[in-house]
Amino acid sequence: MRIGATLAGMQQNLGTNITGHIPTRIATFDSYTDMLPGHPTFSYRGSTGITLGSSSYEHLVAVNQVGKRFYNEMALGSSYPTPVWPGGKSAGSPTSSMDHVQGDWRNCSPDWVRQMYNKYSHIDAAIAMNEGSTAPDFYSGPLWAIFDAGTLDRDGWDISFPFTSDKNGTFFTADTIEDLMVKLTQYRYQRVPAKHLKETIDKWNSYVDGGKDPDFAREADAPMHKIDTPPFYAALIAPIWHDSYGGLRISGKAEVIDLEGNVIPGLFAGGEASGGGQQHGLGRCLVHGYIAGNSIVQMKG
Amino acid sequence: MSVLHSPIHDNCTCTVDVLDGEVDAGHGFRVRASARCAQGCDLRGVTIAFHAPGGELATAMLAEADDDGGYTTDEVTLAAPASAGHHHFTATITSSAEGLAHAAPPAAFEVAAKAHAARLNAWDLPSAIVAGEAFRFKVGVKCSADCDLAGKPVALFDTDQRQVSTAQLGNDIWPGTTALFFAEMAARAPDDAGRHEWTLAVPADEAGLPPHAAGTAVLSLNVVAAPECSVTVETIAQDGQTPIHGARVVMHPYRAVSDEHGIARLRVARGDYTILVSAAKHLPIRRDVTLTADLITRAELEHEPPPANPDDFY
Repeated sequence: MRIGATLAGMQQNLGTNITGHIPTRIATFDSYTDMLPGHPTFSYRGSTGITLGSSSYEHLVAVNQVGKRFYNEMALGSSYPTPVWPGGKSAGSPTSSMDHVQGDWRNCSPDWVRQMYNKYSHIDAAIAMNEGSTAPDFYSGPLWAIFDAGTLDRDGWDISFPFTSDKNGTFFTADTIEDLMVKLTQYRYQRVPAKHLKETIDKWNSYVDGGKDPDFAREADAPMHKIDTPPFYAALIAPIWHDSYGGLRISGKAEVIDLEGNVIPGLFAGGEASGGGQQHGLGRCLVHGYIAGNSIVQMKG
Repeated sequence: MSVLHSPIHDNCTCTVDVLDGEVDAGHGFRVRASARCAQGCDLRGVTIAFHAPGGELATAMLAEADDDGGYTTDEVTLAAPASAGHHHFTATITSSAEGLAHAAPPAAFEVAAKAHAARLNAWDLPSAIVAGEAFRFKVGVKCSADCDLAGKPVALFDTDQRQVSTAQLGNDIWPGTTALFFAEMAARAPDDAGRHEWTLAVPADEAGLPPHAAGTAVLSLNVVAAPECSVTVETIAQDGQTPIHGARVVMHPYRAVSDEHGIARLRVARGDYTILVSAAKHLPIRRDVTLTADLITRAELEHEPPPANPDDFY
């Protein structure tokens, strides 16, 4: 058996609107839904999360696992009606993922991708997630919303249970930013220290004092507020890739294809684990399951 | 067990891993001890004693077998001495296993204890302070080891490092915190407008047990000229035309919050401004103005749409 399987259709994840996005719900593992206590999934999630409106992003800064900002927070929760990548006709790029050419010069480097893709928060979030770790052992760590008691006063956020939980690792309270940095390590996927957080918040507060955000120009969108009033809070931001068009390349019998184009005997895949169908959902899963099941029966018979 | 065994297996080894780096003086630090018998005995249940120069600190049983024929304890938290510096400890085997006594040379280990850090923070500082006028703000100090800091002095220094104000931390901690002691400070702003970076400082207490290091924080002041114009912003919800209480009005560096009638009032210097208005559950708006006289204006804010449901796209 080969050590690796071929991937197919990964570009389709970027060619379809909102396949990935950052929901306006923080402080929970599952930011896609808002199940309350009593729901079967609640024991997993532990908190419903705090549901923010788009204006509420005015009151937080978003940082990656090493404590650095990565996006204009006011645009963090936006949804997008157009494909993510490549950059469109004006950039000389195809406008549909189906027009994407594997190995094309346009996807030759991360820098090119950064320049040419339509600016979407979840892509920047995905790029920011690995900071602090290196290939091939990337730690795709969490993103955090950092805010303070002033946020609660201004925007009326309810941080009590079940909106947040002090047990599921998605919400922390601390007397100081330095203490918050220490507490973040209690989250199981925070595998590197958020060592830049204090510096980031100090810098942000200096931007508020100066009236300009040189990093992401937030002053154009809404008032900026210092994060200086204790206690301080960190709430998990959980981007969602809620369906996948790309995945393992499979044959017409739902057999997984290896790196040299050969079938990996006995290994089958389907649904959203497989790639290239430009479709997602239960229908695809059922069809692939049906094909795989019949293939296995025929091979055994 | 075979009678060929010696009654004392004195060729055992014992080691200790210190799991924490530098720790606060007087604070706990974590260790894990390991031991091995050269004759391969199962040492589970054997007790390890941890000693400081003054006596025994704690004991723990070997519980887990590792891949190399050794046995380890669970994590044990020991208290570092209250003074800063490198402190030395030992660990020894103190009980028998498999009916045989085991012994090993004491395992030496050390921990570095440091003076507690002071973490300073200032808040409730006016966003714009008129040159030469008095202003007030709050300062909080937190010890890295949560010590009681009531009565500790805090000093404020200007850009020339002249002390311009002092305060003592109160007996109470700031609401919602576990150990943040705070004080209200007052000072007089510089006479020249512009940004000024002053310094808040708490002195070191190196002789104390435990010792405390000095701490500092920057206090950034936006000093402005005397206001020349008044700006009144009436904040209104577009749907329903009702006043918005608590709307934020920012004309950097000036800020105000609307009252129950939706009115926010600012006193500002003449000049070019962007007025930004925002309120909970409403979309923020902005307007550029050149201010040469008093201004009364109205800001109608549109209610924000509900969060998009991704499933609606399919």
